[in-house]
Amino acid sequence: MRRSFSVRSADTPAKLQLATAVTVLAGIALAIGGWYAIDRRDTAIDDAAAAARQLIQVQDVRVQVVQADSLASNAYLQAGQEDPAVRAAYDERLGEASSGLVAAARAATLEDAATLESVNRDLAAYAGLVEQARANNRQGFPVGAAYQREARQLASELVVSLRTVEQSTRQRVEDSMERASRSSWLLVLTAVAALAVLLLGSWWLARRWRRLINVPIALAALITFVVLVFGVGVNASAMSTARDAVRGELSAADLVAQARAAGFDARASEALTLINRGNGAAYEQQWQLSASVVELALEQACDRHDVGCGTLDDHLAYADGHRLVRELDDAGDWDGAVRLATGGALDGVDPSRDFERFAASSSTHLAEQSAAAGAAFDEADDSLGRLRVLVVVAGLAVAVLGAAGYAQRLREYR
Amino acid sequence: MTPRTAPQRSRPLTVRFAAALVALGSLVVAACGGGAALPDEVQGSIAEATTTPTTAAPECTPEQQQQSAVATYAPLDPLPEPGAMPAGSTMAEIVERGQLRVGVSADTLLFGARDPLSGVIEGVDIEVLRLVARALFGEGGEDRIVYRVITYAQRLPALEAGDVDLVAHTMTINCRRWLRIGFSSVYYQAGQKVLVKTDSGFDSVDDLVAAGARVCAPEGSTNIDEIQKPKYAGIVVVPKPDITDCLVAMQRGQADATTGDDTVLAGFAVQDPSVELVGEAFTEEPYGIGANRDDVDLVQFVNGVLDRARTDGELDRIMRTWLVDTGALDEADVPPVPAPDHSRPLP
Repeated sequence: MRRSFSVRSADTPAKLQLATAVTVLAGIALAIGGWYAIDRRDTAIDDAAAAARQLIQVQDVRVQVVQADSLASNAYLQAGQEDPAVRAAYDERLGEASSGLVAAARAATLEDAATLESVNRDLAAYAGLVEQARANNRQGFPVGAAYQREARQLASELVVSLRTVEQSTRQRVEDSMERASRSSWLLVLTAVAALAVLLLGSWWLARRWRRLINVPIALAALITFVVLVFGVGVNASAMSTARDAVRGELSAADLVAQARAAGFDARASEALTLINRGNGAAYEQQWQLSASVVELALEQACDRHDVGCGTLDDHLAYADGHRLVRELDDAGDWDGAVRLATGGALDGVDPSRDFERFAASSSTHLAEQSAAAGAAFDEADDSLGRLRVLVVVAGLAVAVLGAAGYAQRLREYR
Repeated sequence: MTPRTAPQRSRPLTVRFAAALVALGSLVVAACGGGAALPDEVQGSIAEATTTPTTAAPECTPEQQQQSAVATYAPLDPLPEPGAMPAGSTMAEIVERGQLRVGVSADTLLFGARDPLSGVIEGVDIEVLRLVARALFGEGGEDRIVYRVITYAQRLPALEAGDVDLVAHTMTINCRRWLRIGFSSVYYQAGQKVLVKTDSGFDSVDDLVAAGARVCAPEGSTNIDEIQKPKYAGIVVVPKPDITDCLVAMQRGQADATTGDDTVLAGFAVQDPSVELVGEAFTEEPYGIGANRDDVDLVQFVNGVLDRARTDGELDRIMRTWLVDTGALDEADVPPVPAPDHSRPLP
């Protein structure tokens, strides 16, 4: 082997040893730093997915509560002719709301968990009030209507609490996504540093020994380059998959769930306008408020996500029926209004049928969109999991190949 | 943070590589940029609520207060036969329309309450209106009644706006209300009492004062005004939007007692065996049928119908059916049907 005149031969093995150490360290740094960066993003996306599931869960509880209230109000209207199926559906909704609350509390932050637990306690009190309303009503006691009003009041307080939990959960989704988007720089930094170390090393070896290429080190550089390009690509695509899920399916699910909760709320308000004959004006206002939430939410879902356009039509049809119910009641035909509201069609107008359609179609859309959001999060999670393994293997390979490359030269000094 | 730590060497290869790294760096930045926000929670809205302008309630002058509030116009004599109402009268208008529109309560047991099983509204107030309908339309006239269930607060406005012809809604006749509507003669003499738990040991409103008890009363009612007078200082007033909410409050242990008209409270005692009316009435609440202020002839007609019902015992029968037979009151506790005062001069 010929030696360069410019470098004192005594220094060269030390320099080679130093280069070996730096390269091995760069490889290990790539393995650890890359793993850490990907893991952080993966964890953040997992958190976002968990928060998204939680959001859907809490919204589901809200829908169950409002639905139970709507069923209880309608059953109250029918008094003696109460349909046992309606009663069973009410019990089922309450049961699901309660178990949903327990599940949601487990996955909630401390503060939210406390709120959810108090909601669960109030839910039991709510059920008690409904029982009182029902018992009084069946005996022909008008105080039952006051219990039903009281129950309704409690249900609306529950809904307010659930909405604050929803809002904080939405914030958790957004914060986790923000965290995910900030956590890939360490991968790029370690990969670029490793590449720089390998390229500098190659350049030095090429100049010092007038060899064009050191195969192991060149291979290590190639691997690092591939990790850099591939890693950044996969990382970015996982991020954008998750982000699209939030902006797309999860947003659509969120809107449909809000529309659903507001829809059942409107239906319960409708029954209350009739239960409180003459004292129902406040509930008609509540109906209008809820109906406007349904329409706004579904319009957004339809315009932005092409989801729930048919559901909006179902709701508009129901709203027409509701207006006829109000017209009948206002004109003094209370019995006709109750018949129409509780399942009897009039001249082809059947608000119960249209409301059932709205309920069924919104339920389908909600299930589809939340499943799609969950699948997208899973996909992001899977690809990051694979990348994490790949980066660790690549980093170790760089360390080994780097050491092997310099060892070829170092051998000449033994 | 954008890593741009590529070795800056003069060699073209390195330069190009550095440029590629910079490009990669910007790709990373691009991939990271922008959060993923969920849509804001949808906020609903409703059309501006039509609020009726609230004019200050007119006050009676001392002169007006001199006149007895229960004094009403002399009855039509003779009372026109059904189907033969004087031309141009309010009654003729109603008969021609074929509907008697009335404002009632649907949750005041014994006076105006809907039976949840049959859906029929029934009670003392309803029976009195049925008498009027039969006098207007003849036999079967009660089927011509169109019931509009209204709140306490809607009683005067519904008459003023002409939405209903008559209101029978446990409505106390008083001077201030005479300024806005017309009243028939008294058909029931109610009074404000207290309702307590049967085992509470409270026997009168004075006991409640002494004990500093929590007493529920409907917001904005004459009942709550009364109980807030200095002579009842010591009572903790529990206001509720509706008198029926007071029964709920008592049953849920949020109040020890409720104060209101004995008629309404008697209905509560029917609905809940664990409560009872105690003590003497401490106000007078004479109930009358309300009509639009301008429908003087209709008030005179109703007074004629009431007079006849007093004479032939129909009013007694109604009170017995609804207040005694239901077990709400003992026969001895039913106040006698008050004698009419027809001394109010026609306007």
